[in-house]
Amino acid sequence: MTRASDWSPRRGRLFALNDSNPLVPYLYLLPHAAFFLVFTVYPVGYGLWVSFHRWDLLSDQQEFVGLTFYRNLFDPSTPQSQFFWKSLINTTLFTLISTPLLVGAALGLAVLLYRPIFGRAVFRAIFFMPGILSVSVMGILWRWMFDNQSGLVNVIRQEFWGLPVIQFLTTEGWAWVPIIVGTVWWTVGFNMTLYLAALGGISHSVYEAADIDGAGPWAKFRHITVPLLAPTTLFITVTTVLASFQLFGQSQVITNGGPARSTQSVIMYITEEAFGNYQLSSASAMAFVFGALMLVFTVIQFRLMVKDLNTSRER
Amino acid sequence: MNRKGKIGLALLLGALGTGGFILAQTQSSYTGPKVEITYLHGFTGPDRPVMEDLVKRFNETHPNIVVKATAQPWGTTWNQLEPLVASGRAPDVVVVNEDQITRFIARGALTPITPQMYRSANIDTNRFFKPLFETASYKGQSYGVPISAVAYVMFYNKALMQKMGVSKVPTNRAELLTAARACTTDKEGRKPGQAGFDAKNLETWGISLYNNWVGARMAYSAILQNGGSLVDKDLNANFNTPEAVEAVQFLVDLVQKENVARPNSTEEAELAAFSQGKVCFFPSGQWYLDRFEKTPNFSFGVAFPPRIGNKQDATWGGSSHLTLPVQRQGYDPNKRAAAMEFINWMSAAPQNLVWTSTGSLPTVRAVAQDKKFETQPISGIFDKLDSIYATSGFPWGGQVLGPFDGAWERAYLGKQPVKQALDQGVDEANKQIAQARPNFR
Amino acid sequence: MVSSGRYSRSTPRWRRVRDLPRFIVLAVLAVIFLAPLYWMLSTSFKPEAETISIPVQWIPKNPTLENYNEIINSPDGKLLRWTWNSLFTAFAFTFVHVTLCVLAAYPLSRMRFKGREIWFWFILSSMMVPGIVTLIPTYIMMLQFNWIDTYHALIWPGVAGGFGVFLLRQFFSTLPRELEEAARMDGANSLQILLFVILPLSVPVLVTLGVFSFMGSWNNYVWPLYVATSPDMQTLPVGLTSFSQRYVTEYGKLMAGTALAAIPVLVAYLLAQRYLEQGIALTGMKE
Repeated sequence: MTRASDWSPRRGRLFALNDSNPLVPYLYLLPHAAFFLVFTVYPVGYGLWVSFHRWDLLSDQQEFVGLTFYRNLFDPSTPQSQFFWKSLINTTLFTLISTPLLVGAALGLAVLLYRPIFGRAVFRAIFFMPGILSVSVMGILWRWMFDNQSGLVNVIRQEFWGLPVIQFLTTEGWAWVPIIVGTVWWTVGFNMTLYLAALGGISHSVYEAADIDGAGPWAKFRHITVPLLAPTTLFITVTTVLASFQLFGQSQVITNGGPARSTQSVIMYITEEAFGNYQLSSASAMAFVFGALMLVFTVIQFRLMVKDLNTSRER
Repeated sequence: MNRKGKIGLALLLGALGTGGFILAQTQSSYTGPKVEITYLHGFTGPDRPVMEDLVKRFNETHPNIVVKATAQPWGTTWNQLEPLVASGRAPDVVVVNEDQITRFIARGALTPITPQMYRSANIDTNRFFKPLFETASYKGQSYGVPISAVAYVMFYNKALMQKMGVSKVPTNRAELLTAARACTTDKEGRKPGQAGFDAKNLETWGISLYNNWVGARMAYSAILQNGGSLVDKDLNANFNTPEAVEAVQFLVDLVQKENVARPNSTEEAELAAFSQGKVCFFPSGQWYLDRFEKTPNFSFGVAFPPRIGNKQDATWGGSSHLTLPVQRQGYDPNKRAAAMEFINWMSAAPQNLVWTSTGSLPTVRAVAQDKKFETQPISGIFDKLDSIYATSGFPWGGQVLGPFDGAWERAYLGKQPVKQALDQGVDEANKQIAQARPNFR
Repeated sequence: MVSSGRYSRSTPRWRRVRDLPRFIVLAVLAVIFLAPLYWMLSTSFKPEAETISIPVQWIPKNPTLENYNEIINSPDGKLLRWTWNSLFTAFAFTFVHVTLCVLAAYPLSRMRFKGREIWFWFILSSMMVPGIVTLIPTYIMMLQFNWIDTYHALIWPGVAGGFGVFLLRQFFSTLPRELEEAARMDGANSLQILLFVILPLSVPVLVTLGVFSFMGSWNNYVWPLYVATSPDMQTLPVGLTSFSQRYVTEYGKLMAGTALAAIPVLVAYLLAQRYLEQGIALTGMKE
């Protein structure tokens, strides 16, 4: 996509002090590249190196152990494999439940808000607002909303519906409810905004044609809105899946991974292994295995993004 | 700390200064040039002003030493200590608790304190309770001295006991059962065992059991009382011996069979219930003392946990130890000497008395005999200070206690039968220990 | 549906009435969304004894500022210091990050040179590396640099992200070439063209990237949790969680602390709302 007007090196010399110097583009790239190499590229290699040793911060000699820590993950008798795969299953469960909610609710809100209505800007702001809060604020808030005894949810259940208290935070299974509800509350506005932007791109003439055919609102939603939003839905789904797999703060703050590690996420377990048990190498190995799994998703996402960008530019 | 507490503390410190205490202040053992030492501890919350005050007084009485103190949550220090040592930025003195100390010793993050060092700093190690002092020892070497201790105690609500006709604080298994049954009623006023008793909706109940690590310390105490232990002589986990299973089974039965404790409860919930007079016995750390003393019109007492087992009195205890992190080559010997003097002063009887006055347990024998405690609730456990057992002596504290706490949680929540929960816990712990062993010296 | 995109005074009343059910649904949802925030505020003004009272007290009976007083004056809490740490690192990070991304995206979009496509592809592929992979090695590097518990650790490691370069390059590529050529005729060098031609045209995307970087840094949780651990160096999200452990059963104080952390951010959001939504729309592939 270069054009004739792109800056291109003329026959300048390496010592020229003006734009004729062929090194100019590299000079512009240099600052970013330096940080990029030191803090992105190098750590990946260094992390691999660490994962092949038994890394000990307090010793000068690092013992080489080869693939031991990778083998541990695939040997069912080690605690690492047990907890790692359990936390991966937990995270997958969270992703499977929260993604449809985050996509569906966002689409619902966007459709409700798309057509002009009294107070639309205010509603948009309200639905988006929670996403601004940091994960600790959101976590503390929802931990307390679902508190076993005095949380608002249980109080309302008792007072208005006469239902017994549910020990949300300490019961396996129920403990996911505050995490998922909190996450939906926290991030649905982001997806909603994406949908609103996409809805803005749908031409009205399509709907007008459907009106002439006498289509009802549901038919229009099913046969026009949903298919036309398919690329957006795909994009939102993939990004939400990726973000959900990075679950950390919500579990950490709301349930601290409990009860009995049932809400511990992969990232939580890796950090526990690294900074709680100081098994830096074991944690590195896990990070690489998890990273490889994530890579598959990311490749898909990347493809989508590039494709979409190209099509949007051609428009 | 409220203003009243501050005034009380000031009065107390004043009394100490004017010879209210018999022990004479020893001369400083550090005579070198002026040095500055850094001191890291986790005494936050109500403990903070006490520690800050002590440090201030140390600086006032030692013109040639300046102590710069930092307080931060304990957990932060545990995450930081190794990186700090590795990067040569460790503080000169750091407070480490009993659950972490063996781990840091065996990782090589702490400096051993030789008898020679103790001597030159005028520290007579016999001033401490032996089990507490030994908590910071590993393979025959000492790594620090205790300055404060906590223990698992049983708080009891006098008003509720009276209402339920319980006149004696239980001291053994049978008494505990009887008292707990008497304290339990459902929403309709029925007692356990009566027809129609609704165990799901208790109005009041006998004893607080709960799911977190503090709740698990009750199980640990019961196991010790039954002659069990957490680890065997090779330091592998063994908390699934018959004695241990029997002790934990008794506790779980309090929930599932006797219905005198609530299922599925948390520490916060039980704490609230105890404060509201809904439960007779609340076993927990003695650190809640301060809170209960501040609760208006609240008549409570403190007792040593009843002997559930049939071997010995025992309860879990914790302690905080002054230690010297490992420093880089070329570390200033004056700093070390000054740090030793700081350790000496901070762990001496007058200062330990200050700690004890704020709700900690004595670490120095002389303090426990002080007259001023005779009327205080906490003195209810002073005669059994030698029956307090810390969870230390094995470097893999987390690897043992994590699975142990998890096993307690599963057993208490009724997810698994007791034996199965403990077996699984031991199995988890030993797998983790096998993994962890190569990391320790 | 009629294509007139706006309501005006002349909108027929029957249309407004037809919108009523939709409005009611939205209003109910809005109330549900606001409930936790309202509950947080309401509780923060209650004396401790009233925080867990049944029946529910929607409005504090005896409102008090005691909780705020206690929280602000607690020696264990350093809300101001944490806020400053968060602000400083977020501003510094945003400034450095945007600058680096501009400098990198400029030649990648407007110059021809050897290795351009390869390098761009390389930067892009770095976006596929999940953060957790580099967390541990970068942490060890921080130790080696002696950067633990310093602002350096909070600022530098993330400044060379791939996403910013990608976003800016896409935007720069869409700018018309004629302006640049005119400037070059006038004898402007490449730096002048960047500063006086390209950047003024790119303000929306720069603000968007800036707001995103700022939010990313401000709400970052995992990394500061392990590299900025001492009370003086913690950022607001991390400090707040460690601090809140103390008040886990004192809901009034807990909520007062949470409110103090949340309110400024919400106000800032209402001010920067337009840019944020614009930015999200941009990332969602529309320009």
